[in-house]
Amino acid sequence: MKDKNGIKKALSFLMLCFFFASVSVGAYAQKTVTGTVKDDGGLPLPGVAVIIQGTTTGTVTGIDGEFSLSGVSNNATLVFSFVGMESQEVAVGTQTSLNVTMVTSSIGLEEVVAVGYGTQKRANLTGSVAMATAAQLENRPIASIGQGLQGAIPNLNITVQNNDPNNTADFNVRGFESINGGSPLILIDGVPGNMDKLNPNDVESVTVLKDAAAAAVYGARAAFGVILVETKRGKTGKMRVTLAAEESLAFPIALIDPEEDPYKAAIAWNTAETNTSGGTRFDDDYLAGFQRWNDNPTFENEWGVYEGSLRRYGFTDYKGMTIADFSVQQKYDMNISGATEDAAYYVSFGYLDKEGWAELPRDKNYMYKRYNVLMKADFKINDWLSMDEQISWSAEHDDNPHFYNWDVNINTVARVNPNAKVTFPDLPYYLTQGDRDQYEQFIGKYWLDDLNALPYWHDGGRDTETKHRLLMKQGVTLTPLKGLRIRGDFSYSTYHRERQDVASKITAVANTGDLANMYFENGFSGNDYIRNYSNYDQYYVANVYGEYTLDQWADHYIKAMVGYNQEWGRNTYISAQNNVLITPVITDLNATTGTQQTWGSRSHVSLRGVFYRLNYSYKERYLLEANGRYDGTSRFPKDDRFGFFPSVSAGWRLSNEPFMESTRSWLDNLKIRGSYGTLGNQLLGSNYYPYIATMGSGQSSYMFTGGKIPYVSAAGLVSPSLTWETVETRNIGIDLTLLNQRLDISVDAYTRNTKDMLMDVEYPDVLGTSAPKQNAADLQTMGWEMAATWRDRIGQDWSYSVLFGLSDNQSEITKYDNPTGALSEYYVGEKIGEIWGYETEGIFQTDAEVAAHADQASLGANWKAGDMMYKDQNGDGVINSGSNTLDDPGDRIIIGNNTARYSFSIQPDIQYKSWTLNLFFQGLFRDHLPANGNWQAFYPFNAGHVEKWYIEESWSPDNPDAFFAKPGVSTKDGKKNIHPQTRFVLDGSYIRLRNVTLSYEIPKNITQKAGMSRALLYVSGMNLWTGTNLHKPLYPDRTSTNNTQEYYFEKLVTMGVKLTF
Amino acid sequence: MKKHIIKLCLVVFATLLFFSCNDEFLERFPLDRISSETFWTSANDLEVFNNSLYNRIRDDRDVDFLVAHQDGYWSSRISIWYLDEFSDNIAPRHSRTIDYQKVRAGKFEAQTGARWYGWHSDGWRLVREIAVGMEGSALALENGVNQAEVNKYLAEQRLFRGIWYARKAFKFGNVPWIEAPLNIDSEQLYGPRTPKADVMANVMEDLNFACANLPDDWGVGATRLNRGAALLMKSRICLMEGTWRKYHGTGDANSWLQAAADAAKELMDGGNYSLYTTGDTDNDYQAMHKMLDLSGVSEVIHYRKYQAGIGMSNHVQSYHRGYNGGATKSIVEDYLCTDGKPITLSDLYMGDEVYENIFENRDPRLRQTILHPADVARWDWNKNDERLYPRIDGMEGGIKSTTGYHICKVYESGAAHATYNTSSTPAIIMRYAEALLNYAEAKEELGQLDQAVLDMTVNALRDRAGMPHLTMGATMDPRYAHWGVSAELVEIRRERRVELFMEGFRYDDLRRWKLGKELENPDLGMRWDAANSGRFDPAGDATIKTKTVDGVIYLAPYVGTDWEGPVFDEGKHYLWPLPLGAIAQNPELGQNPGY
Repeated sequence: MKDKNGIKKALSFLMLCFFFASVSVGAYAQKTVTGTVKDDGGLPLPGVAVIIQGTTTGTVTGIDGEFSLSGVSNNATLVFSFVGMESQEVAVGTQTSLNVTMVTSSIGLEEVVAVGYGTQKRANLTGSVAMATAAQLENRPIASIGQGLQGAIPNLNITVQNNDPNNTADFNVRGFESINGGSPLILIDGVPGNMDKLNPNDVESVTVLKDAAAAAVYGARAAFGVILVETKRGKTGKMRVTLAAEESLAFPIALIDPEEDPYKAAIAWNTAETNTSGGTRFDDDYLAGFQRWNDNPTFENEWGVYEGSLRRYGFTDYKGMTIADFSVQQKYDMNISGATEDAAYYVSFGYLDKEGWAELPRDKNYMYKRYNVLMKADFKINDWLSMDEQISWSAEHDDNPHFYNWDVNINTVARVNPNAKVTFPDLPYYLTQGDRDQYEQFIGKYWLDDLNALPYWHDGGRDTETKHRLLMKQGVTLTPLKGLRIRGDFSYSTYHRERQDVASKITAVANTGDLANMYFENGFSGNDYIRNYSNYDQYYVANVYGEYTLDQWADHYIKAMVGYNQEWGRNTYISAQNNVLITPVITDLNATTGTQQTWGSRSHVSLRGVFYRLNYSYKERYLLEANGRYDGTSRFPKDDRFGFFPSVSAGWRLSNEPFMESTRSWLDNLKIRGSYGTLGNQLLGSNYYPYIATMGSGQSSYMFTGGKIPYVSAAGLVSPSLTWETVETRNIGIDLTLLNQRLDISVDAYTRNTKDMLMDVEYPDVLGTSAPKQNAADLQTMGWEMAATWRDRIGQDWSYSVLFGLSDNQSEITKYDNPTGALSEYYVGEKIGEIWGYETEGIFQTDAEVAAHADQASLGANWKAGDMMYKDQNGDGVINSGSNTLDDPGDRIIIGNNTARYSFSIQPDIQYKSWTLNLFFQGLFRDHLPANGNWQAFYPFNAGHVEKWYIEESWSPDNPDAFFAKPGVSTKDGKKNIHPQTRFVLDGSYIRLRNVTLSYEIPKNITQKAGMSRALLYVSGMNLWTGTNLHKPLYPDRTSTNNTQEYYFEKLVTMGVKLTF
Repeated sequence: MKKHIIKLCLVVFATLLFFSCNDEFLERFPLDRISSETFWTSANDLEVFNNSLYNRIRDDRDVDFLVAHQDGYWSSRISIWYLDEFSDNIAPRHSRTIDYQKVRAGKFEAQTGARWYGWHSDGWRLVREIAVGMEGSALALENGVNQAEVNKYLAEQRLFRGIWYARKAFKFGNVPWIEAPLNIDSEQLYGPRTPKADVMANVMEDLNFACANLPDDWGVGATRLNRGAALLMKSRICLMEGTWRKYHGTGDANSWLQAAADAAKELMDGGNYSLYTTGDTDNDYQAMHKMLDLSGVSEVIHYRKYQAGIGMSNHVQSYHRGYNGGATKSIVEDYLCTDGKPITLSDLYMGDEVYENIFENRDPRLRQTILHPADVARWDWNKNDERLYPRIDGMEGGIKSTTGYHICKVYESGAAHATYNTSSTPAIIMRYAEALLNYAEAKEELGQLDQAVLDMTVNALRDRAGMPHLTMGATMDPRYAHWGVSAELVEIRRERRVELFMEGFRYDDLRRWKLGKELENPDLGMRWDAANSGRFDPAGDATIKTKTVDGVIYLAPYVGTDWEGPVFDEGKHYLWPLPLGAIAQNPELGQNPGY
């Protein structure tokens, strides 16, 4: 079933690359160098790679730490490297014997971290900054960076909707931002962009600026943190070619578990129907038929004719017919990088091909492809001038079945009957002997019964889309004086989307079982059309900044930076739709005969600001930093357009104090940090002109004669004095490095006050329009986070490390204009994420209990034994929601909170010789209340299929302690038993093995023979195991749309190879 | 070296200058929107603005007047054809009609949000937009647009407002009267409701202005509200208010009743409209309701047009076929016999023992409303189904009903079996027959009824249907003697129920006549004794339960469901509750009694 072409293609691609790369290999010889390598404890180190710099020539130390390498020239440099140890470079000169001592690598004190418009040594940071490096994203079957970073940085909270590669993860830093929304500013090489669309293998580092002190240079957009993504650039050394190929199998996590015995399912449905409406869903003939098929599941027993209607008595494994067991994901990467004295280059090409989850042939399935190209070059023109260029380009192409509606494309599995008719059967005869000819035209054709999605998937048209993102960037760096660095860069990016959505007519057997009256129909596809969409967005960013460093005095270090930033964007959108295709084969607007419609829009926005940063440190003990930005935006009226956002931070490195001398042997670093600052939030989504009142216009579908009528509608209300939301953060932190840099701990605690939140103030309906946004509410978020790393070696062959991250935050409304305390709005004191509901007292066991209990009439009618008993909180003898206000919530109380608490991650890595095992566990704690809308599969008889466990866990006189009330059809006003209530607040906490990778590096002596410097093979698994208390069929991440049939979360099993030449 | 540095500084300086010297850089105005300052300068501006009001009322969930059909999925829930499900005319059981069933059964309570056809924020949007339009009309006048032109559009705006407020007043009693566009600091936002009498006085002014200034035809036919529509609406609203006042005892009724009669009479005398008739008494009543193209149909005063593939299409025929449940015994038994007498008095009534006999010697409109088993081919019922009808819920195949009385009044086979949401079934919102009935009723309520009035109204309808005339001095139908009104009025009301069945009047009529208690009669269906059930459902598949009335078994669609035992609390159910959310925001509104 599965297409194997992709694998073949991959292999031939690899072969080509091998050939290409082997041309570049070469070596020459002069003398032999020998020596011994020991660790800092004096023990010999086997397995250390010794390579002549700039070549692939090298060897590995033996069991006694000795090595011998021939062909070394006098001007060569030998590079000694070993995992977990600091690499060493030794110039050979005239020596023929070398003794080298390797030291355990430092885990970051000297590490350089990207901060806004510059870099900073980690040891000198005073703000709250965290970083993830390439190592955490490489060699994993992730389609996007969001998937890879989930859990990697404490309090960088990432929500992935599902495994649909088209989706973009939702990024959040340090908890609930604003009631008005908000998100961190994401900059890719300094330019706003969508990091999920990058090639994960191109990413050098991801830095999160969490507090105001770190983010202040970004002013009005940095209120909720900044994420800086740096892509790779060329590094000193000879040309290096890396080829990587990865093949994954993705197994959809679809937890629906339908009852496969149609008789049991029918009885269950009938019980529910009888309880709700007094009727039944399946009559006696059906029951008998199901029974018959159960006893003897032959084709004859599968179908029957009853009163002239075709009936199906067999179980239809619709889940199996629509959801593939697995699908294939492929990733290929090639990059070439290197540097000479004056130029460095990095060029990469990446390709991702992901097949969809549906049980469909490849050309009918949900398909996604992504191409990434990154080209970067740095030129050193002379002593004082260097330039850098960058072009990044990506193209996403997706090709999916046309989306008709939820019934067809999303929630079908949850809605079908257990005996759904999918295709018209081939029976010997139908109504009378010999009438088969009459029905032959229908045989094997798809049936539209039970919202069958298959005919639409196969023939209902395709929705194809190509998205191009292009970034071009030119930078100039001047170093005219010692200590002075001036940089300017200009980047221009475009986003271009072309989408064509074709709904083409399907022909399938009409939804009638009536054999006397069979015909074909078009189902939802009756109105066929083509719609083209085109988006073209442009954006430019210009930065100029200068930095002066003064460190000529031993004790004082001063660095000052000042700069200017300007950004401009423009978006255009055009769409056209023509109805009635001449033929489904030609899908072009011109090949249509029906009505035509067009749409369009344009907008533009601009920003500018000046910013500064001052750093001062005294004896590397006392650190002081001040940041700020004066920022203006086109989104606000002239007088409220500019704002100033300053911050200060300070650090004290106690460990560098003289009185701490005695601790040096075990304490490498101890630093206390504190910061305070304010930032602005101008993010209003696509509302670019919130202060200007304009009239709506368009074409209304209301008709007077024929065709639409043009209209211009009343302008809404706007506030003339809109301005920024202000976000004030306070942060304190401790950084601690211990035991010869084995243990590294960083702890931060913070408060973030979001003030003057722009919000829709609700007014009585009679206002007749949306009230303008006002700066009217405050919010406070408090939280903390810690990251700890332990790294060590055991003996010669083993080394290991464990990263542990833990974070928490909670938000509360501190000011809100809600005089009546209406619960439909926020109110002061509200903890974000609160779940309101009734307290479940139990299930009524007898009708007498119903009579004795408080009156539940306002929650539903016809209360009987087996229904839910809600607690009368206010003792008024009536169960209701009162006036739905804080003072009078009726009998509702706060029954839980769905905010994620105590997010944690544990990442143990173990290395043994050439083997490496990486594990990545991630999890969190929270409450979860499943949604009770229609077709949510969690509640009994809310959907079409029947889950096995419903039947066991629903109330009956024999099962008085059941979890669910007695069965009732929820869609027929049977929702009275599934009101939000304590019983259904579930423990949504989980721990998940998000990734496991086992890799093997082929020994150098083998790879060298093949002309390679490194060859890595790995197998990897994503989402292989999840520990959770959630009740079936819920999945911890899938909290918003439980079990609708959209793109599923997936388990991925991957094999990969990565070769470096 | 120094030279270079100077150069560089110049470059940097120039760069900074380049980026900062354009002051306008942060001035960004909308590129694709119209500003209200430059609008309101021509009649065309007013016309396209008023088009936006039609666009607003397109959603009948939110704006519950001039209800037509919703499009797509929502045409399973919202349509003028479903409004009678609030009453004793139709007995649906489908979950999508649950709100109708709740109201019908008197089992609805105040809820947080707005109910269908209720106090919906998008309805208040319309009020604001009308007010904006009225200010705009004044501006247009200042900008030199001709007074008569402006008045046309102003009249259209005021007609919208009048109808909207009348609907709200009949549903909620007192409602806040809003004349100007409110802002967030307007006191009216938190003010009390305006007394219904004041609201209705304003409504009357709006209606009068509309009747005086609207054109007879906008040039687009009956799809755009014109003077005829205004007159009919005026008679409908005034009759509603007049009878409400009379029977609920809330003040002077006669001026309203007189206005109702006058408006109807003006329409009748205007000569622009007439009953649709071809002389075919077996079809004329029904024919219009199945037409796809209503342009030029002389009886239609206002309708909404649909066109699949362009935007507004519907699926109402198909949903109606599946979800309407069926007509009730009560309406079926209200049709007269061909001698002009009710079944309680006529010798011609053949009883309901044999299903087909129900149709014998009855008003021909019955057979044009309810499916006769012999008419399957005539209507192409279920694509000329070969099954025996009626069919009941639970039986296999065909179209099912809850009562055994399949409604065929609007059934049009093509659209009823068409693909999802591809139909263009129009909605007749106002037709001339109503004007006649309004006139007759108003005249009788005023004590001015005479044979001449009957002849030009009720009897005109009966002529079309092939029924004998109603004459003064009619005999009282004993079933309705307890109403305490004249036999003529009983007959006029019966005529109204029969003629306008499924056009959304019954529930409002019962409320204005203060006959809510009629809704406490449980809905029944066809006789379901052994003979009938054995004949129509030999397999015993029907899932509708039964009820024995005077020793005879009838289908009883709601027995065993939540809606069994309907109640109508006279202290409560004549008005609807305000949403709790609205009261929470503005406690001054207060709740209606009983909720």
